[in-house]
Amino acid sequence: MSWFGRIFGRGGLYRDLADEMRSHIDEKTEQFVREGMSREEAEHAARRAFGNATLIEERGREAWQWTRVESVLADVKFAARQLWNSPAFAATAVLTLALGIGANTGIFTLMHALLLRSLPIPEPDRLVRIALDIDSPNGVVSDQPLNAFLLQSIQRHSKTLSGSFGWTPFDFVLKEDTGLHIYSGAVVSGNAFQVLGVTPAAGRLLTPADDQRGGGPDGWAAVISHRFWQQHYHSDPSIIGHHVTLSDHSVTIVGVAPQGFEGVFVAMHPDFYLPLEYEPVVRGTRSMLRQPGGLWIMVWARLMPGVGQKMAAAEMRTVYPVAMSETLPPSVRHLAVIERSSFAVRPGGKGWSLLRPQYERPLMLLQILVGVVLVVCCVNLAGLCLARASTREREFAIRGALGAARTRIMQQLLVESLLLAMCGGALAILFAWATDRYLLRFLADREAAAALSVGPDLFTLLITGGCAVLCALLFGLAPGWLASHVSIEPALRRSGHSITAGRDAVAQRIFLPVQVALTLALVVVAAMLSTTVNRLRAAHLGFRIDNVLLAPADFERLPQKGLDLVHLYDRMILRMRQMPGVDSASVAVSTPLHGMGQTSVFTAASSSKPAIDFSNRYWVNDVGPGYFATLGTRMLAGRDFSGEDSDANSCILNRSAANRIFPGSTVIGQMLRQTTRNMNVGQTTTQDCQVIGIVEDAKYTSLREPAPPTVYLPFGANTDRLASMYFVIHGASLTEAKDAWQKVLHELAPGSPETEPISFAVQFDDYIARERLLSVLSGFFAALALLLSGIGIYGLMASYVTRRTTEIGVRMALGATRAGIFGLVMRQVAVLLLIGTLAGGGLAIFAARSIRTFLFDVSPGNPAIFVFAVLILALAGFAAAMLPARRAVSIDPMNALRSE
Amino acid sequence: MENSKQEPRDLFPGALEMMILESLRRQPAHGYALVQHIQQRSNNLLQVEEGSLYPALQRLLRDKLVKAEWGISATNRRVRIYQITAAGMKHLERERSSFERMFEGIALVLSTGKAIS
Repeated sequence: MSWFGRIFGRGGLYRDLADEMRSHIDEKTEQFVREGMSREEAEHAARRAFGNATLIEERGREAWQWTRVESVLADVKFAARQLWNSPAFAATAVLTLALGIGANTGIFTLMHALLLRSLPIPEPDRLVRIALDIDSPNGVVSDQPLNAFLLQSIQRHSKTLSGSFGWTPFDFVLKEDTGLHIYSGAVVSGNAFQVLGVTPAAGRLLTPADDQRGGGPDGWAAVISHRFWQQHYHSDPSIIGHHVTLSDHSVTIVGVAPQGFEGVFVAMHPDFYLPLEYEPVVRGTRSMLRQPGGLWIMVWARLMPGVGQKMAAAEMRTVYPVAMSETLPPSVRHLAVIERSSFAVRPGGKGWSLLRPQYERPLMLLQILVGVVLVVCCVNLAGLCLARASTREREFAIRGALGAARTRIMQQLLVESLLLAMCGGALAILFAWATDRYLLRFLADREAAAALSVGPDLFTLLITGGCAVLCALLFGLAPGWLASHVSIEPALRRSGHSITAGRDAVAQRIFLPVQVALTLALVVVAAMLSTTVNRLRAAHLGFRIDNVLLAPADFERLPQKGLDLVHLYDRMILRMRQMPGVDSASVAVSTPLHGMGQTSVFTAASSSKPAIDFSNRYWVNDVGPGYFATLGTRMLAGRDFSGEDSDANSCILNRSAANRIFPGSTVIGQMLRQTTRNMNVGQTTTQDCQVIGIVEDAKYTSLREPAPPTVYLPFGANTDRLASMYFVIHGASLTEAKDAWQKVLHELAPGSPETEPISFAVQFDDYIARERLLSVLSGFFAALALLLSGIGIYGLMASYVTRRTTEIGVRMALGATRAGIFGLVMRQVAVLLLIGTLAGGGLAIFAARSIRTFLFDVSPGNPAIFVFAVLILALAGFAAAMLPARRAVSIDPMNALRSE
Repeated sequence: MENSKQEPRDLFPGALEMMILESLRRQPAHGYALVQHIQQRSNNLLQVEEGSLYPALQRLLRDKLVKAEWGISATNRRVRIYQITAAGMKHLERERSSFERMFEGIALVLSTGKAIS
C-alpha cells in the first residue's frame, strides 16, 4: 500500500483488524463450547486466553503508524475536546499563562532589543569598543568618548587591531523644498564601513579618501540610509551623484547603506553618514576635530584574527600613556586625573547606547520579577490542574482498566498542559507586542524609543515557545504523575468522591504557601518602588514644573552672532512676556533635570587657596533675566539679573554655594573668581565677578542627590552654546506658552528651524522614567500575582468545602453554629497565609535589600511597607475564601447527610 | 500488561512470521485457523499467542508478504483469509535457508556441549 493509502486508508485497516479479532474470539468461544463449557464460561475463557484485546489491537496498528506521532496527535485531539468541555478552566489557564508568558516575552524583547542584539555585520564578536575610563576624585566615569588625536595615536601604535574608526552621532539640517528639516546622522572615520565590513545597497560607502580636509574626489561624500533612500527617492539608483544641501553645504550622495543597518549606536536611526572632516565645516569655530582636549568621538575597532579582547586590552594599557603624551599639552598631561585614567576595551559587536547603562539593571530586575510571576503562574496552574485531575480520577481509572499504560495517561496530561501552554503562548505574543509599545513610552529618550524595534521576531517566538514548554512541564508534571498512579479498582468502586483528594490537598497545601510567599515578595518590591516614585515627586525641587514650557533654540544659521544674538534673545524674551497668557519668560543654557549641566571652578577672590581642586568645582548655569521668576525659584537676598549691560561681571549664588564659598560673612557684594583651564592648550585663565543675589537651592542634574551648590552667571556673548539655549516660558497654560513661542520665533527669528518644545512636567517625568517604569510594571506584576494567589486560595477552599460537605453537615447537625463553620474555613486560610507570610517575609527582606540601589528615601527594611503588603495579601486571601466559606455556611445538614 | 511477562512468544525475531508464511504457503487461512495449524503441526509444542499473531500479520500485510480478503470460514463465519504473495514466497525461501543454517549451527553447538558432559 502506498504511503498515501496508508495515511488515508487506515480507518479501513483498523476496522478490519478489529472485526477479525472479534471473530477470532467468537471462534475460540465456540470451540470452548464444543469442548463442553457453558457459553458464559466459554466467553470468559476465550477472552482471558486472548489477552488485552485493546493492547493487541494497538500493537497491530503500530505496524502502520508512526506510532508516537499519532498517539500524540490523538492526545491533542482528545485534549482539545477536554478543554473545550471545561471552558472556565481552559480560559483561566490560558489567560494566566498569557499574562505570565506575555510579561516575560515583553521584558525579554526589550532586553533583546537594547542589550543583546548583535549589529548586522560580519563577525560582530570581533568588534570591540575602545573607551576612556576616567578616574576622577568624584568616582570613576566609564565609557567616555575619545577624540580624533587619540584615535590617530591608537591607529599608529596598535598591533592587535586590524582597523579602528571613530563615530559620533550628528544631527544634520537638510534643505528640502518644504523648508529646513533636521535628520539624525553620524560623522564617521573614512574607514568605518570597511572595518565594519558592510556592503552598500547602491553606489559606494565612505572611504578614507573622502575623509580629507576640504572633501574627497566627490567633494563632500554622503552615504544615506536605506530607509531614507526608499522614502525620499523611491529606491531610485540614479540618485547616486546627486547633490543636496546638508547643514548649509553641498554634499554628494555617493551611496546607500545596506537595509537594516542603523550604525553602531543602538536605538538611533541615522539617515546621513558623513566623514569626520565634515564636522569643522558644519560647526565652524566651535569644531572639536582639531581640539586635543575634547572628548566626543566613540571609537570602535576590529580585532586581528587570533587576537582576543584581553590581548587588545593589555596593549591599550601601554598605548594610553603614549597617546596622552602625544596629544596633550605638557601642563595638562600630568594631571592626576589623566594619570589615573585608562583606555578600556569592551565588546562592541552589540553596538552601544546611552540607554544601556541606564536601563540595563532595571531591565534585569524586571526580568527577575516577571520570572517570579511566571513561577507563581505555574504554581497556580499546577494547583488548578491537580484539582481537575482529582475530579477526572474515574476517567483515568477507566482508561487504566481498558488497558492504557501509565506513561500513556501521563503523556495525555502533559499534552493537555502543552496545549494550554501553547494557546497561552500565542496569546502572550500578542499581549507582549501590545505592551512593548506602551512600555517604550516610558523610555525617556523618545527618538530611541521609536528606533528600538520590538516587533515579534523569530527570536522572541523561540523564547516564548521555550517559556510555554517550560511552564507546561512545571505545572503539568505533578498532576500527570498523580493521575497516572490512580489505583484503578478503588477509584472505580467508589462512586462520587475522590480518593486522591487527600494527596492533592497535601500537594496544594504546599503549592499555596509558595505562591503566597512569592506574591508577598513581589508586593513588597512593588510597594517600595512606587513609594520611591512618590518620594521623588514630592522631593523639594526649588522650582516649579507645572505650566512651564522648555523650547530649545536652534539659531546656528542666523546671521546674528555674539552680542547681536544676545540682543535677539533679549528682544524675544521681552516679546514673549507681552504675549497673552504668558507671565514670565527667560533663557538658560541648561535646564534642570535634563541630564546635562556644566561645572566650573570658583573661589572667593580674596581667598589664597589653590584654585584647581575638585572641592572648588561648582555647578554653573548661564541664565537670562527673569529665569528665577519663571521657574519660581525664590530670591533670598539681593537682586536678579536685569538684562542690561550692567549684568556683566555679576553673578548669583544659591544658598549652599554662598555658604560654602563665603562661610560666615555677608555675601552680597563679594567678589567671586572663576578659574578655567583650557585642556587644549593647557592655559589657566581667571575672571572675577560680583555676587548680586542669593537664591534658594534647586536641583540641577540629579533628583536623588541634595540640591548642589550652584553659581548662576548672566548669559552673554561669551556664553558657550549661545546659539542653542533653552527658552523657559511660564504661562497660564502650556498651549498659550507654546503659541507664544511659535509666534515670537516666526516674528523675530524667521527661517530658523522650528524645534519641538516640551513641557517641564514631561522633562521631569522623563527624568524619573526609569523609576516610573519599574514602579508601574512591578505594581502590575504584584497585582497579577495577587490575583493568581486569590484564584489559588479560592480553588483550594472551594474543593475543601466540597470534600467536607458531609463533615460540615454532621457538625451542623450536632449544633455547630454558622459562625463556627465560617471560622473553620477561615482558619484554614489563615494557617496557609501565615505559613506563606512567614516564608515570604524572609524572601521579601532579601528582595528589598537587593533592590536597594533603585530606592530613594525608602529604607529596605521599612516596616510600614511590610505591614501594608501583609495586609493586602491577607485581604486578598480572605476575600478569595469568602465565597467558599459562604457556601459552607449555607450547607443544609439534611441534604449533606442524605447525599452520602 | 499481563501477557507481556509470559513465556517467549517469539523464539527469535522473525520466527513467527516464518511459521505463518510457511502455513500460508500450504494453504490460505484466517487468523484462528493459523493458530490451530501451527499448534497442530508442532504437536502442541508451540503455543501461538494471539497477542503476537495479529501484530505479526499486520506487519506481513504492510510489507506485502501476504494479502488478505474477507471470506467465509468452514464454520460459516465471515473471516479474513490470508494468502501468501510471490514476494512472501521469496522472503520465506530466503529466511528459511538462513534459518536452517543458523539452526544447524545451534544444533552443532548444543550437541558438542552434550557430548562433553
